[in-house]
Amino acid sequence: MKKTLSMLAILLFSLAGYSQTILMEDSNPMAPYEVKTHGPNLKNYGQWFIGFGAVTPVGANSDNTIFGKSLLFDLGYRYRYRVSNFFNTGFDLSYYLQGNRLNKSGMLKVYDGLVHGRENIVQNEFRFSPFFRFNLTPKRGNFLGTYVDLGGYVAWNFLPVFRAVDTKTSNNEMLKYTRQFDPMQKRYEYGLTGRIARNKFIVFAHYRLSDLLKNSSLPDLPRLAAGVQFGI
Amino acid sequence: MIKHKRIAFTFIFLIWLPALMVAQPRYWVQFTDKHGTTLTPQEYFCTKTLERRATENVSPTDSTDFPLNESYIAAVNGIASDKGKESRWLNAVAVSASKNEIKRIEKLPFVKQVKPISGAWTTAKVIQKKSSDENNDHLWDILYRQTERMGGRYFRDSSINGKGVRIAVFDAGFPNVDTHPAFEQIRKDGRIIATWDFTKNRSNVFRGNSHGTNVLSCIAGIHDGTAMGLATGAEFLLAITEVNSEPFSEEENWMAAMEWAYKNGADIISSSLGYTFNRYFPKDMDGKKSFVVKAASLAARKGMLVINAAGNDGDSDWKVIGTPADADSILSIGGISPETNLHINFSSYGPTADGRMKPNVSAFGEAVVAKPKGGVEIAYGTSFSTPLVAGFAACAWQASKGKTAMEMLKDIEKSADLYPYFDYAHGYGVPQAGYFLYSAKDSVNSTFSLYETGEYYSVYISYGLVKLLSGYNTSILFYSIEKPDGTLAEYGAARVYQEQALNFKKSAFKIGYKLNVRYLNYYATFELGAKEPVDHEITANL
Repeated sequence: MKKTLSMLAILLFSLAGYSQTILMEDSNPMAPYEVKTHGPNLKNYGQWFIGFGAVTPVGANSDNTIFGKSLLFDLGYRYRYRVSNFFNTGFDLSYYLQGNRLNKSGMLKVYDGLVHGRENIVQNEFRFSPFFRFNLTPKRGNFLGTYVDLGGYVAWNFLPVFRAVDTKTSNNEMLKYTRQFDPMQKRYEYGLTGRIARNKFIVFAHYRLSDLLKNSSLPDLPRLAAGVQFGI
Repeated sequence: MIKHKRIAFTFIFLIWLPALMVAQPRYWVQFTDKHGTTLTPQEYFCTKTLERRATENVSPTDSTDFPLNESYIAAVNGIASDKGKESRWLNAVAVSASKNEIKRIEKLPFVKQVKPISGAWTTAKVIQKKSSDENNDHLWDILYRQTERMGGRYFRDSSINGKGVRIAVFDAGFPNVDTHPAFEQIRKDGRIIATWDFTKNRSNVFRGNSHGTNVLSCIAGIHDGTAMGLATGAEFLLAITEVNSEPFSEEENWMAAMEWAYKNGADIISSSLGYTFNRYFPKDMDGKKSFVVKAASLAARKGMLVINAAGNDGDSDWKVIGTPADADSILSIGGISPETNLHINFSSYGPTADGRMKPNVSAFGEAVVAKPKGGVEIAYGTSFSTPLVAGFAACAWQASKGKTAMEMLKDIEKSADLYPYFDYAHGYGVPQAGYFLYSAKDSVNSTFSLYETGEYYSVYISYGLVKLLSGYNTSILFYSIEKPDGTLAEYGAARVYQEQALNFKKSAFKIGYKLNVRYLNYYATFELGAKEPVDHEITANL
């Protein structure tokens, strides 16, 4: 074994003697100056983003949701086309998840007539969100700068879910009830979107214009959600 | 629905609110003339500047130093929201103004042009602060070699230390330069001639960001008897021009500092200014776009040697030098690694967008600097390569009295260890003191042979010059493929292990292309692109 290792070491050493070791090279020094059309402040720009946020009390007819426990998650791709230094347009395609944790005083019993310990209306959506962008730092290099996006969205709630959780007091047993394709939720919705951002740090808000629940006699859920997104 | 509309409008308003609060942009308003203004040089300039102007026969009608026309300024002030600094050289005044105000200013008959002011420059890239243990072997090794790599001992042996040369340093602050032991000799000799804080309009510069203290130490600091820079006998003008909280004022400050330095007799300006992606695209780095380039070029014409960092974007998407390092008449400094003696990864690359060679020369991009709170530490950045070369330039100028700034720039390039070879990572290499003391370099004879074998050209070097166990830089072969217009199509460096040192595909050489090779002190050029087919050896042009 020792002999084999020694032979291998000698072989490697001798091979190194015949090799060409390039320490550094640049085969196209002018590459940084080549005309590019894709970049943060160039004609086209694509960016993945991830967002986190929470439902706010704005737009709720009554206090039906437990704020702070009703959260959202957004993961998608944003395309932006530069019309001018100041004005851009584009769209988002994203997967959007929002959980609406119901307050016991209002919405409970609307699904099955029972009082549960915890109830959630969950939206699993694919969203298409066109927007207009207004650059507040139009004279800049190839970076995003500070901008405001205003637009709207249409969403397909491809997997509406109702989830209830009860805890039996006798033996502390958890009872979970999940209803996929919840028939109470609408499958399509629309609303407004707004963002203000500096480079890849984005503060956003969505305002839902359509109703979430089919039964218009039920108290509506909050409409405004806000949070932060990070460009990836 | 009405309620929805109201909420939607509120929503849009809230989104726009921060946008309305964004500060107004700043602009340079340049005038057409200086009609009706005069200057008494004896009152305005210091003795040193007057002497230089006499030597260079500056025409009394040269109005670049004349003050601006007060009535023009008043007219602009009447429209703009806020007035900033003035530049005599560029005949311009900085203002904050809205779009409508700028449109009105542009219509004034004496306004030549209006240009937006850049913001956010870069200082050193302090990647990592290593141990400040003063007994650290690595630290002492770097400290010794950061001047020795430029042949510092030759200057010291000849008692050349930049005496009589005045260096202006523009930076973000010089805390504790008035107390730190590394600057004791400078203080003792009263060699800090003038100071000015352009961000606060006062003379105290011994405050703020420690970067300036670090930089000054690389020009003239002395740590435990060991020189950190070469110009330990030079005189200094210290100016604070950078302030992070007001990035848009930095360009104004830098231009004002340039004129202040000239007025106060500066021979050399050492600056780490660099504008990159904040305002520009790489294609703008053509040495013409920015106002600071114009000021720097004017400074060179007025007899000052402007030395500027290439930048620290070599490992970022930007990659190339910033402005004003792209200016033709500025000595732009790249960084090399003390470990490899090759380009240090973060140092910005050339060429300029119009294909001119940059950086001009290089120095260590890792250097021992003075810490404001006492002692020394290792810091990284072309901001430290720049003062190392500024110190070198002061000594070189002391040894070459009577030369102009542009002659010094060319001589510093010629003194560099790779000259006449150059590439876009190292420029002409590291300047060498010996050039200024012992005139020309040793003559070089070709030690290369070039052979054609199948699809390849092979560079051979003499057996006796293959140094397997040699030290720093001595076994590195530099090569470049040069186009007919003088720009490089390709370049690199390879370690030499054997006589057949390097192979190139013939297809890399189009018509008119040349191969430049540098190894040890030897340099050769092979004209390959337009040659007739040959069977064996190809002769080098020396």
